Amino acid sequence: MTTHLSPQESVNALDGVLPQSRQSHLDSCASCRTHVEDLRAMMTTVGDVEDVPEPSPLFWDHFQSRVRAAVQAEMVQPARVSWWSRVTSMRGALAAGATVVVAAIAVALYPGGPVSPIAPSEDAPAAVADESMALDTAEWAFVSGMMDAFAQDDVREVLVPSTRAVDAAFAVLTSDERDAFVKLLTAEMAEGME
Amino acid sequence: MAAERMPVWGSGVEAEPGTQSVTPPAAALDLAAAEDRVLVAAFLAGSQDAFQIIVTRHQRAVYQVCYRFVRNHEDASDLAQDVFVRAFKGLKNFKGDSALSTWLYRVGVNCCLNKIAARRPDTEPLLEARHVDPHSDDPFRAVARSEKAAEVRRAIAQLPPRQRATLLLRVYQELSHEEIAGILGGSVGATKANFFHALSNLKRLLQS
Repeated sequence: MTTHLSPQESVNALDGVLPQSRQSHLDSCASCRTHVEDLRAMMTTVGDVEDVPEPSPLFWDHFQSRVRAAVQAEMVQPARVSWWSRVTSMRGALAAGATVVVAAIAVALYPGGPVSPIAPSEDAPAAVADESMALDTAEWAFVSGMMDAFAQDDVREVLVPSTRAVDAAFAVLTSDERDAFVKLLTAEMAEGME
Repeated sequence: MAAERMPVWGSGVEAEPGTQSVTPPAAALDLAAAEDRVLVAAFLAGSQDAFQIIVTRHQRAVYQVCYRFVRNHEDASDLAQDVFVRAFKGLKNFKGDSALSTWLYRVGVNCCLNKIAARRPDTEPLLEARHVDPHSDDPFRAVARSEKAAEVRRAIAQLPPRQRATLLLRVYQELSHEEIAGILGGSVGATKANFFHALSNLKRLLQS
């Protein structure tokens, strides 16, 4: 005796696409036949209550206007920004914050401030070397490690002004200031070429 | 923040029979007879009228699908509107490996399933359930038929969402099991099993 029809096979029987081997079972099995006929009757019952009321003819024009208005409203809405975009857009701010933290750590570890690159004037009293103010190797390694953790691009994003900012700054210069700026820039570029 | 870049939607297109519309421009007249895939391509290329023709062509079917899920005009029209707004934004993702109508049904079914998942169980509007034409030949039979129909609709509303969607798409939209599988996701076998269980559960609900 073969097995009864599975749910899928019962649906295939409803659709008239049951393979011959299973059709033979259906023909000989009263239980399966009754079940398939019940399913068919239920399909008919469901089909008979199909009644989506037809809206007013004016509705369709109104509907098109509504869709058009909704689409236009969507078009003027700002684009949605994903959480990841927000995180990546804050990269610069995070890098800036981290830079400040590193600087604060460095200051805390070396309260005397950085060594001035300018040589002290001869009039000034000679600086007294204070070994307690010097960073030891482990502290430098810590600060250096923190600095290495930042990507170059992130640091550049914070420290290098944008093109728009440069344009804005240049726009407020007087004519003389612009001339001086161009001369400085030209001299700088010539120096770089040497 | 930058606004999302989307094609512009113009106005004026030939309406489907039985509906009114404004006079279509010449370009729209050419598109009005075009196949769906041509309309989609035209829309993605920036045609101002292609999308409106898509709406005109499919609005009734989309509305009907939505109505069958929510059983009231207001929600159905809101959902149908949402379907076309989503289509406007998402047509660039339409691969063309199914009919546009099937793709729109997929969008519609997702909207409807979200809607019915978020609201209280369906209740048959009283007026709709009891509406009977007093001029029919046999008002008593008409009342019985109407009550039976309301009973069946209530039973359909109690089916699990995927069984309900499968049943509606198969019986009313007359989609193939393959198309329904494409809309709901999953295998054809699972879709057939869903359909089987939908009919079986319906029988049980109507007998109880």
